[in-house]
Amino acid sequence: MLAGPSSLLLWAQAAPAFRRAEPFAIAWTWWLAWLGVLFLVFPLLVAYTVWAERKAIGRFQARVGPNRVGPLGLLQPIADIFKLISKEDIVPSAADRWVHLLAPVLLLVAAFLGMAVIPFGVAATTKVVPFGVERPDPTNTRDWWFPGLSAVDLPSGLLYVVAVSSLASLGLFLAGWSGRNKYSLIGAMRGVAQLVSYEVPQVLALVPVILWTGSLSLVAIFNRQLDHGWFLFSPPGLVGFVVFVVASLAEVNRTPFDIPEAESEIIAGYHTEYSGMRWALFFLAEYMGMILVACLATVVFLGGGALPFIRWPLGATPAPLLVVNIVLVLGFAVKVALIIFVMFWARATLPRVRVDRLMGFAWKFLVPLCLLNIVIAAVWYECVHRPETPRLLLGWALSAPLTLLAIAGSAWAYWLGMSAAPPERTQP
Amino acid sequence: MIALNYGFIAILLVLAIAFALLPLAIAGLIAPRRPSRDKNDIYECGLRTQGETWVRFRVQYYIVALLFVVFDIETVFLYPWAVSYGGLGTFALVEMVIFLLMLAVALVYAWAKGVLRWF
Repeated sequence: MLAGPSSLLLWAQAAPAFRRAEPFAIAWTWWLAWLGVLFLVFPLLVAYTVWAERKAIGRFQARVGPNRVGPLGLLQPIADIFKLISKEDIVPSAADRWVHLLAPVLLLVAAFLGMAVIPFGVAATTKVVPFGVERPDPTNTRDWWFPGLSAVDLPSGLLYVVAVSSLASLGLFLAGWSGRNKYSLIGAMRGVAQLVSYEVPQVLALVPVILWTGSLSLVAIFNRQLDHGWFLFSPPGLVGFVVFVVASLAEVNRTPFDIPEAESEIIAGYHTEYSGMRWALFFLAEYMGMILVACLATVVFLGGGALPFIRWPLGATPAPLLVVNIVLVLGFAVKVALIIFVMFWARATLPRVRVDRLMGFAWKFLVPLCLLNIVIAAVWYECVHRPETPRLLLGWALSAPLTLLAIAGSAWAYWLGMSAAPPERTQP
Repeated sequence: MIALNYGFIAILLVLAIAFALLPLAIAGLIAPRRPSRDKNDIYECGLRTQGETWVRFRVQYYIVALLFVVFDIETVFLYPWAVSYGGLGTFALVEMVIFLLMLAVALVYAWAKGVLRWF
């Protein structure tokens, strides 16, 4: 199996048009195209995610949502951009001006950087081997490897995404601190406490996937799922997916985990002192973060754009590249849209979580559950991934009861921890 | 090739910063700019702000951050272990279970000491 940085040139040489081109020319053509996608398509996607959310929340609340600007309100995001860009940019005279400027920029950069490693499809349907190019061997499914349709395929891709998305907690704190506003600072302190607490279960939930793939490259994780089916279809994978989505909701400060910007208690939380375009950058970063975590969950647990259970269009004789990518990108979009819809749904349904329950849920329920889940994932590996022929039945028989036990145990620990009588308050 | 990939990341970083600053620059050109003492004051409740903002906070936040560092470092150990697990065999599993147990003991200790209690 080949996974890693050299794959970029290898797959590029697999494409007929590029077979005789200079390696650097190939790389730069590819990257220029990706910069276009990242800087034109994603902001537009964010604008329409906002529109979709306003429509969806409207329907949830028996309203119609935006419907004045353009048909179905489809031009509303464009109008909003013009409105925001022409609003006065107010910086408090007591604020730390440079930090005040840096904070939203940092948040947006974190969201952009993560997008670079997400594989949305495959870049070639020929198998790439270190010394050339060949079609997948239909008899040996274990050696199939398809280069990913991503800007770069970093060998440490997953760690890289986790690392850059943790920049968000820094941006959030700087935003709350710089305004010299008491509500902002409270929001920032809460935000950092929440973000670091939920980052632990978020990264631990990904460990089973790394264990099963044996690589941190997102393209390798995608390929592994083409071979073995979605990682979701296993007890540890299911637990990992649910924990990951819940922790991600907290990471992007979405309801019910929106105490850093709880508008009914601390005005707007960490971005109280932001207005106009700077505020819009926070908004953009939040929605880009949402799309990023949905993409990551799709690649890591839902098999990227692949169809469930069947290998078509990437079977032993793959369909033409265009057909493959239409299917994969459509599948990817549907899964991402579903995850994002669940986020809207959560916002429409669930009230804000109280702060002690919020912290307790991360440390007393999710973290123990994730630690147990890693051990169960190793059991699953021994049953399904290590043997030549996967013993699925044995895997389910062993890991399903263990998973139920782990969930019950963690829930019991959480209940025990939260029902203890609170101590006397010693400080304000 | 690794360096080339990270070169792309570096370019993306620069362009992302530019992408964030460009609308701010445009806004700076076309947006109205009429500062006044009251408008540029810190927003609190309509009156002038009282007292210092950058005060000391509860120690609880600091303790949570410490706990986070412990578990983050654990993750740094867990990721390479997970990557190479397939080639290591059962002994690696036993070792990692012992490592996880040690951290679980730390979590239980912190829990018993009331570190995880928010109120």
